[in-house]
Amino acid sequence: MTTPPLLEAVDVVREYRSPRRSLRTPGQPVRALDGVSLQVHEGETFGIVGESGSGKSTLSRILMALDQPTSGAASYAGQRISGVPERKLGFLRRDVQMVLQDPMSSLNPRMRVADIVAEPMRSLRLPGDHRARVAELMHAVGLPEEAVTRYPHQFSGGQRQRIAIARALAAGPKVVVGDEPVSALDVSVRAQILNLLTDLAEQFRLTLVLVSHDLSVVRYLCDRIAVMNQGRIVETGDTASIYSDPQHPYTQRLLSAVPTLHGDLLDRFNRSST
Amino acid sequence: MTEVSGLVVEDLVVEVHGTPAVKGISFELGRGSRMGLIGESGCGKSLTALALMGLLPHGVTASGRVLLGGRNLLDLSDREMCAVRGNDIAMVFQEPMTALNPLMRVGNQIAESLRLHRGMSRAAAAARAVELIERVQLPEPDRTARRYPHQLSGGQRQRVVLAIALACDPAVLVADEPTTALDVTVQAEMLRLMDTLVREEGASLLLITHDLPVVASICEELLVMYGGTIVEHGDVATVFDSPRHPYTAGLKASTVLERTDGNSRLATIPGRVPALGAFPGGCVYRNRCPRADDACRTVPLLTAPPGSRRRAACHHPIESDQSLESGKASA
Ligand SMILES: Nc1ncnc2c1ncn2[C@@H]1O[C@H](COP(=O)(O)OP(=O)(O)OP(=O)(O)O)[C@@H](O)[C@H]1O
Ligand SMILES: Nc1ncnc2c1ncn2[C@@H]1O[C@H](COP(=O)(O)OP(=O)(O)O)[C@@H](O)[C@H]1O
Ligand code: SF4
Ligand SMILES: [Mg+2]
Ligand SMILES: [Mg+2]
Repeated sequence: MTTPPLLEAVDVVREYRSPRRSLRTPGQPVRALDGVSLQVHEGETFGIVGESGSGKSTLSRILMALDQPTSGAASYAGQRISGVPERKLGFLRRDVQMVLQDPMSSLNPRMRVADIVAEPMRSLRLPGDHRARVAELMHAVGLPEEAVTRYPHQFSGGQRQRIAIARALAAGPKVVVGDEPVSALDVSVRAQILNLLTDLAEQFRLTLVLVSHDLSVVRYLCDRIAVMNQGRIVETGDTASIYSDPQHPYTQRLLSAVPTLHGDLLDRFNRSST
Repeated sequence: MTEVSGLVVEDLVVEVHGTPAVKGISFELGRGSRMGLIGESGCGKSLTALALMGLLPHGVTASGRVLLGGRNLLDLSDREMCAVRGNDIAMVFQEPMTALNPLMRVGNQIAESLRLHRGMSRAAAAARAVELIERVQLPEPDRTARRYPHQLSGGQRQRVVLAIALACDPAVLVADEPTTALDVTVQAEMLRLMDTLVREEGASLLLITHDLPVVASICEELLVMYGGTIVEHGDVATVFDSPRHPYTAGLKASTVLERTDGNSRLATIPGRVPALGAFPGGCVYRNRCPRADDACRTVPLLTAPPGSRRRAACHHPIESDQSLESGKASA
């Protein structure tokens, strides 16, 4: 690649101290990330896959400077963001937004949708007509405009995820990081939200970073993927080549977990749908 | 145990404060057979399961017949139903914590069911509990028996729930989204285990999920539910190969996550599941169906074509030589 990376992690280690078992023995350190390096380029849709506990969420939080590495560093557009005080991260907060798995817990239940969606514009003190922008966003994510006066609990899971996406887009970000954004949704709603993300990524020229344990989701959405296992990236590459020719044994195992789970009926299921 | 031929559900209606949420469904779960029940959330799957178990929440009532071992379970008193539950019919829930007592060691929770239903002595029940913990492939059975639920991972807890469910050799196991809360690799092991144990015990399984591949891997027969009705029924392979009901076709298309031609978007079912009481009259799927026309204003019956066992409730079913059609996202 000739352009410099938009998001970068260099040799990132993140240790957590597990709670101590007794007064004498301190808790053992857990290496959630163990020397992770990664580059995401502008306009790319990048997937991070791996089993539960492999460090996906920890990595995505460090890429957003919501957590600090024990050693190593993350940067955005060539500027270091690890260990930088929050007041100097305005550029990052404006450019990078997040969508989480469970929209219910990430949407304030006591706020109306209008205020939830406008919140990033307010906290970043962005100029302009916030109400008009909210209306525009509701349209972009396929929600009726009247929805702005309602509260999160009055919506279905898929609609709440649309609200969370609208909020993520409010400040006009360059990058959206989704941590399992469709994992809690029904299959039918999942496909709708994935289509929405694809549309929006095109429309707003977004760089997408998608964290998921679901290989079919990543395969559909991402140009490149990184496969994580026990705090390390074991393989990175084009989605198509990783799926057709996985190099690392862990990747092979992860990919084969799907067909063995579903057996030949799934093969048949997939074949008959093409 | 009494001679149980299987579970027969006839005209089951479940009402939530007077509004029907399950609208007169009928099906048979043969002895030792494995049936999948699929559909989006809000279609009445869990209420069906809870009705079979006699565990409906306050304000929710069931009528019709749920026949097991010659008795209509809906006619039983709470006390009689309590004896049936666990003994003849048992359930595994989506969230294992809802089925476990957080303040009790898991071994004791399994033993309690054995003492209640089997009248086992304390010591015999405790020993059998350890065996069951081993049976569901938990590590170090003796030590695990002494753990509290919060000391186990999600997958391990679900195994404990399965051990409790299987403790008294039930004739029927109802599993409502048993792996949805677990991660993929754990899911596969859990399903394989459930499948093995159900086969070994000769129990029947009703597996509720919105994950079609899971059903494909485990079940023989399939019920597709929408709007509190069964819209399609048949053997799994045939239904997945050539769905007759447009809803089944839509579910299948959204599951495979394949790009549709042209704009490289995924096939989806347009719109969403209406709230309880807000389904259209006539065919419940009418407002989302790409094939709907005036004929669909009347309720389609769940019928099989001549010479077939495949039932579908649709005025314009998809014939197997027709290509699949499903709505595209309007986003
Ligand atoms: N705040 C914390 N304190 C201690 N350990 C933590 C903390 N957060 C994460 N960990 C540990 O770090 C490792 C990686 O966790 P992380 O949340 O990044 O995993 P993940 O890949 O996102 O998993 P999942 O798919 O379950 O979300 C795990 O072993 C986890 O238990
Ligand atoms: N205890 C309850 N009180 C009120 N409405 C309920 C209750 N349980 C379920 N419902 C409603 O009944 C319908 C079917 O629910 P459910 O059986 O849980 O669906 P599924 O399991 O298919 O997702 C939904 O509209 C749901 O909101
Ligand atoms: S009856 Fe009509 S509306 Fe209902 S599924 Fe069939 S074609 Fe669609
Ligand atoms: Mg995570
Ligand atoms: Mg349910």
